[in-house]
Amino acid sequence: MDPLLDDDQRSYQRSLRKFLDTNWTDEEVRADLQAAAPDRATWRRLAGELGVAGLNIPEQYGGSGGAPAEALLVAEELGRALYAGPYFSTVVLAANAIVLSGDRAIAEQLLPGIASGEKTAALATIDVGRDRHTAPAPEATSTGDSWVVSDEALRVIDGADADHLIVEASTPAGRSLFLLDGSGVERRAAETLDPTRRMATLVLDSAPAQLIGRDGQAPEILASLQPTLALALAAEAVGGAARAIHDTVEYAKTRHQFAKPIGSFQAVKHRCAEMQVRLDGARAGVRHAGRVLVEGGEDLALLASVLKVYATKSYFRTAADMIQLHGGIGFTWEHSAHLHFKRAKSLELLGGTHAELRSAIADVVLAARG
Amino acid sequence: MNAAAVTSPDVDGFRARVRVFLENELPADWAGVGELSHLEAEAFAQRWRASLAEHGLLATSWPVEYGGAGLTDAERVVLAEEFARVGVPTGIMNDIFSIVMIGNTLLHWGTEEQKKHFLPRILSGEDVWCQGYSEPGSGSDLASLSTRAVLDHDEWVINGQKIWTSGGHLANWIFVLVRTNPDAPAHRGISMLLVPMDQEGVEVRPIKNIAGESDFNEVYFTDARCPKANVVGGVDEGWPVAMTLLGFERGESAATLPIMFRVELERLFDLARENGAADEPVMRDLLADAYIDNEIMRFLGRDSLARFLAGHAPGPDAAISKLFWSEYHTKVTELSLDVLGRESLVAEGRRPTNTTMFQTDDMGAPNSSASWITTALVSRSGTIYAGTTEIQKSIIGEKLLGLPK
Repeated sequence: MDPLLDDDQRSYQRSLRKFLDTNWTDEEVRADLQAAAPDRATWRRLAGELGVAGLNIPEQYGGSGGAPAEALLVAEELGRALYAGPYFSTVVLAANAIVLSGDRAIAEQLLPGIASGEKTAALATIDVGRDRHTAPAPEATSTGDSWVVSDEALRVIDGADADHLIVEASTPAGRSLFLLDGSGVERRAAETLDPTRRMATLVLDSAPAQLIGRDGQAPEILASLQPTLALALAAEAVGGAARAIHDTVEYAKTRHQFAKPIGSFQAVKHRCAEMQVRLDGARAGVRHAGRVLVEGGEDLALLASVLKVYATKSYFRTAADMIQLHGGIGFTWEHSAHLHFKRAKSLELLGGTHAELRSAIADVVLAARG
Repeated sequence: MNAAAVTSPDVDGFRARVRVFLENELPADWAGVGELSHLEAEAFAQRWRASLAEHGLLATSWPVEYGGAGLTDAERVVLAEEFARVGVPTGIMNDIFSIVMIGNTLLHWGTEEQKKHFLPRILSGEDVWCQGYSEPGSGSDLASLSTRAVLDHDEWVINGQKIWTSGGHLANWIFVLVRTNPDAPAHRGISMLLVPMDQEGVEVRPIKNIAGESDFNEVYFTDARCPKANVVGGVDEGWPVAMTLLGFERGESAATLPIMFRVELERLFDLARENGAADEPVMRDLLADAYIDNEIMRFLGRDSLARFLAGHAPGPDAAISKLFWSEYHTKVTELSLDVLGRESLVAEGRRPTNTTMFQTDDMGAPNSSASWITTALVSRSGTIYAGTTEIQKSIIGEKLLGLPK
């Protein structure tokens, strides 16, 4: 039992896990990787039956609103199931960015469809090179009462399939977010490190677009989005690591060598224990963050960076250990260990690399004491 | 430091009373024991213990009828937390053995006579205890101990050797695990005896540790004696008694360790700012990483605390906390020597006041090289005592993950 969750949260967690255990098994994971278009049916059910899309969307726009701790539980369970659907792109990135923009018209236009699971969305932010603030961005040009956007947007999660495309682009007033209308966009699916995370390049040729929020507001929106994004990635890593440990421990109990289960060998046992220690630390942190999201009282951006670094690093090491402890079979395409390994690495790199986040953490904690 | 770990209408009033007590008892400019010289610190410790005893705050978990504070679990945690926050101890060093370990064990297993005799003497300071568990041949494998006791009419006669007896030189009583039935299997035939140390058959020899200090000892028993009635929990039935005391004070330490380690890290950050290490990219990265691990320890502490306050019995999560903080501490104190740089080649300035069961230097301690060097050296014991890192990992693997033995 998890003492840091309340009864309702535990019950919600059980429902999510039961649904995914039944509907998103390793076979579904693999089928989805190979499918030309990603699964939508499961996503619609997750949004419709379990409300996973609307937890941070206000009620007036079709969501249930104001349940950030439960949203972290969702990310955790989806991570545990190696879920590949549009949760991260549509909910964590796009829906949260729309809510944070305060743009009522766009919210009314997009959020009800997102909350119900009928529509998906992708958010293309500038994430080129080491410094996003100075990296080149697509250019947006005003056409009077509307805009057109040109150039390329890279590594757009779910960009090949999303119903709505939102891109960050430069205007004379600064970086701004735009909703594309779909024309003037060529979508090229990319081959990704993590096959459970689809990405695309968007080639924009005077693509007609509608401004979201204020001109020049993107940096403010994306800065506000950062803690939510980092915590979602951390929670996903916690779920993935928990699953990797579970599968590895089960294997260590049943796989025999030298007439003994390999889990009885101290070298194996201790590696499993190290995995569990890292997981417990990361999970206790994410639970704590869930409470801080509701009650406040701490520097959320700092907390989120800390957890993003620790939880994703923990997952990556655990996935690497999972391969090692499974021996030869762990190195095969048939086994799921490589999916965890690749997913864990992608979680480390999304939403700020470890080096970037540790540098940001140092800026805060080593700042001269006031 | 962040908001209190435990808050509820039940304990908020208690917290306010503790704060008033601390305000009344401590000087206005109090910044922690670490600011005091060694002599001042020693005098303070004695005065402070007397004051706690006088206010009924010394043995927080004991029932009031035995002179304890009779606090609820949550109140004990609050008290420990508030004391840690201002850098004052909850007793003298041997109180870990006297009050927390043997006191609580007697409350659980002792006879009425034992409780009535020993508990008041602990509170008054007349009896000061130490622990006789480990032996040269029995560390992690405690059940293999060979110190033996045989009954001679009304007395036990004890022969053998104990080791790593922390604070043994300050104690006049020792609780000892002895073999009373050599024919029984390893975990059977062990008894816990309460033995006076001021007798000819008990010899205490100090052991000098890695930091050059002598806070633990070897204790030799040569026909040492104690009354027949000084057995706790039944002859040959000492194993469960011995294991009981390992879970005591779990809630308090879950609340106080993160505070101590945060205070220590802030002091390291101060040092890095003062000597410029905070401007070096590699150092910044390492310091940020130390902050991350320190935060994770805080979250693990909150998790343990929640389990403790929800009434869960101590489980393998205690192994996770122990493993985490002890490994963290070797890492962060190694880093402290790098932050000091060449300064850590020479030990200068104030040293820590005690190195027994010692985790961080006291709050208020200066950023002296002697403080950091000693702390870094002593941190090496954290991954060994109370169950080595390897033992903790085996416990986690077997008890939590269900891996076979």
